[in-house]
Amino acid sequence: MPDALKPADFHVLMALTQGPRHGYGLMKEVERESQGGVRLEIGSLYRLLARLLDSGLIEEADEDERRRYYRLSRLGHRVLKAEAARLAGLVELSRARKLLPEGRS
Amino acid sequence: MRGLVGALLLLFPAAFRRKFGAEMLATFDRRWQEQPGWRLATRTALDLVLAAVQVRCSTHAPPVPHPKGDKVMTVLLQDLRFASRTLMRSPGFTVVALLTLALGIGVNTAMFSVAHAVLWRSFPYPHPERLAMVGEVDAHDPDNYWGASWPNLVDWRSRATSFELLAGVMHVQHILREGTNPIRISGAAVSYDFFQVMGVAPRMGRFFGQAEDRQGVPAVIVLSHRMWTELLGGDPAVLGRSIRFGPTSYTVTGVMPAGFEYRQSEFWTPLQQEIGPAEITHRNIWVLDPVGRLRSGISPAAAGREVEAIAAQIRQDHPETRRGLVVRAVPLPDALSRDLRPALLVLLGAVGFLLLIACGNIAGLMLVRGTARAKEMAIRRALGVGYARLLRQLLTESGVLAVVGGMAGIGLAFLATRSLGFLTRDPRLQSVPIDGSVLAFAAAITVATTILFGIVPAIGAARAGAAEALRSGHRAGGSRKHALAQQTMVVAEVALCLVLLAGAGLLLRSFHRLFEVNPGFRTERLVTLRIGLPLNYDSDASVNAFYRQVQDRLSVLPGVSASTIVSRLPITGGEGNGDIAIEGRPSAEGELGASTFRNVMPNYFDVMGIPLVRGRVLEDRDEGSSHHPVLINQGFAQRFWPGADPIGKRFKVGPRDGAQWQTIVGVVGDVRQIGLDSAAPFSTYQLLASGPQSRFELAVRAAGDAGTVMAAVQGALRKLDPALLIDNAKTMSERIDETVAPRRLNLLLFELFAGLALLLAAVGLYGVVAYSAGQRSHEFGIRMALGAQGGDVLRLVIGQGLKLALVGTAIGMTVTLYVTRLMTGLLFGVQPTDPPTLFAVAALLIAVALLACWIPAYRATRIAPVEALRIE
Repeated sequence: MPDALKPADFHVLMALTQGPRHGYGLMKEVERESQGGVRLEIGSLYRLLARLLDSGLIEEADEDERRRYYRLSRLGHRVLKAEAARLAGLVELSRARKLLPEGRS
Repeated sequence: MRGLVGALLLLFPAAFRRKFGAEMLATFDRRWQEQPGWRLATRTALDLVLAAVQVRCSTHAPPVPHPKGDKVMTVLLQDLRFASRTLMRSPGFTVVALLTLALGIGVNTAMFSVAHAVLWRSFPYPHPERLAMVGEVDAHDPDNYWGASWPNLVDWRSRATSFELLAGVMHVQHILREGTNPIRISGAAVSYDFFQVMGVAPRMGRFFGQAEDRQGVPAVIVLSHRMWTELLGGDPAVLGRSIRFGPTSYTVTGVMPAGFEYRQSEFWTPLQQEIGPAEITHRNIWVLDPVGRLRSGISPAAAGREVEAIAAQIRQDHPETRRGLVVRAVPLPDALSRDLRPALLVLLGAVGFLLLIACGNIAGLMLVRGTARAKEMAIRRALGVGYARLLRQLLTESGVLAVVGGMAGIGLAFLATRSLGFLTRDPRLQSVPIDGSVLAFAAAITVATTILFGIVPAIGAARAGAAEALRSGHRAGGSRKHALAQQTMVVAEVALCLVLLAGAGLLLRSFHRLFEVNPGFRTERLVTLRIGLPLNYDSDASVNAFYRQVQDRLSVLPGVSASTIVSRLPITGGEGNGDIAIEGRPSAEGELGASTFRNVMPNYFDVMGIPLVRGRVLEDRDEGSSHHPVLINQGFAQRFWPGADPIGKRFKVGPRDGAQWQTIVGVVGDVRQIGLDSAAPFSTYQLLASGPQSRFELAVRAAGDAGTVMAAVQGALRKLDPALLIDNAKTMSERIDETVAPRRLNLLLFELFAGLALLLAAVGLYGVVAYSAGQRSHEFGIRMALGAQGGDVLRLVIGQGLKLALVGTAIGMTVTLYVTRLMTGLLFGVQPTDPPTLFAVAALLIAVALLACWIPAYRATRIAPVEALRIE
């Protein structure tokens, strides 16, 4: 089994599937999509972005004059897909063991 | 807030900062716009510290998802992450703790930076520890500094071996007439070796030497860097240029380097050219403030003893120099900060107390948290987390708090030292730097506070027995021991707070006492100016004519009810004085003490509102009288003619061989000439017209608004002669305010610190009472279910808190009686153990304590019995 993505990484990558975002946009998006479960302040956010940039999961989109945008790289997209598949597998397993209600929630 | 974020960004590696710094700030700005507040500020600050550590650690190791490198680092990182997460989870606690810490560390750092800058700063002279000011002081009152006479200094110099060099320094003031308006500047006349004593080189040109330090040679001058740049426009060709002070023209030989500063002198001239003939020959005219460079290895005290032995011999041979004096040598840095030292040391003590109170509060908070988390700790221990690891983790939590609090504190200190400029005009307090040693101090007290408030609760929480904690439900283990520790801390806080309040109370009372003092004249609506005449008024007749013109002009000015001219107004100090000799009463010179003297117009007493007690005031017909009519003050009359009529008696003020016999024609009321806080000295008043002076002061009693009159008077004077030097244009109340400004600043700071202490102690007390009331809500539920009234519970809870406050107050009172003695020098007209003040502050403290207890007590009575019982 591949290593799981950390929740914060996962949410950042997830947010970027909707198109390039700048730092502040990511902050809001992650908070909204995780329903407040993951809150990134600037320190953690940029530490994370730096790491994701380093490992090639995201890349810088064309800068406009004032701020930098980030977007998902192809590698990032693949990793995210793999993670989503892994999570989906887990969900199915949980259902089979009656840990989750049946049907689409 | 943006500044704090910027400062915290410095924690990140430079490469990271270059890449993301600006963007992070911009992102933060947007976030701040959206929801500004303490929560966000705290979250962001904690988050930044944590992220910075993580980034720094991960740059050493390759970026792998699970760092397997250095074990210690990994653990530390986990602890850090865990600590900041825990802190963020209870923002209320975190914010209160951070604020308290920032306050404690901030005021301490600010006070330290001021003390450092004033008391222990590095002086711009090589080996400043070997520089000492030497001079005679009153044997019973070492703060009463007399200095030295020229002939005595010559003897000290030739006979003392403790000094490499010993220079004479005499304060002088000159009027500079460059540019449009003449200005008065201060400088020093110094013996030629002064510059060697200081050990500095000129920035340009040269110093004067022995050949120029004598009378009858062309005058020379060395300029301060400030005078050169600000008053002479930094003219590069200034050397060899001549500068006129009064009738004398001085050739510039040198300019001092920037940063060289000695008692706010703007220029230095050869002593022998400025000193008067009387000062050269008389051993009993103390005009010099000598400064010397000690031979290495000789202490100032030893040098003082050596010079004192020489001086004792001189006093033996010259009876006229006996004044109950003794020679003291004081290290120059101490001498230059002598006036500020007592206040600074007391204030440093006060902020130290404040820091202790802050630590007590945070320790209290941590204890409460520790108790609340005992179960969590117990579970973690049961799961196999070691004792040491738990302890370390709790300490990491305090550490994170302390680091963020400390940073905020340094920011606060920075703001505080910058705002000192609004509170005082003392040049020594204008640009207090936050430098390396200040930061080191801040770091040290941050570490110290972490240990103080962190260790005890951490040990308690980590040690709590696992089984015991799990068994006892929500009233977790060790609560009795915790409660005791908590109560002890609150008692200590209350005690410390009382000491600070007592200090503030005593200063406040001193301040009021000062303004109850009767200055001896009417101060209201009195407009004053200092005037210097240009050189063309070169005879007594022309000066007197000018006085008359001034009186004529001002008498018709609207809004002016009366005006008068005097050689020197009261209150602002700088008194001239001379030895008293009384006809028919043989006495050694100086034995009868000294008297101040003034030259006044006949209407001076009328305009100033100084009452005539006996005889008559001076009149115009006294001008040129061979009797030299004079007025004395009541204190003078009572001292020398108690119960007798002094009118017609004769006395002298000044050197016996030179001064005239003066005949007393009247006695006037005592005036506090030197300042509100010094007793009225012996004073004599002679007719101004008999000894007209080119530098004098003008007092105008306004009928209406003082500001309008001030402008009108200045306009009229300028019209009379545009070349007049007019300065110190102030109302008398402003002059008095200036003399009390240092006291006002002390009072203000002390009140601020005491107020903060009171707030912190109240919060501490509130915390303890609220906590214990919470713990006992079950018991209260039962009591109320069994029929106890709300009032009973209220009394119970308040009583418990009040007991702590009373014990603290009692202990604090005992400490106060010992400690306030240290601030005797800052008080005026009030004893350091003044019962009404101490009683009042104790009452205030108890009243605040009552309020702090009442809130949680009231809450305890509001809880429904059923609910309280259900909590279990």
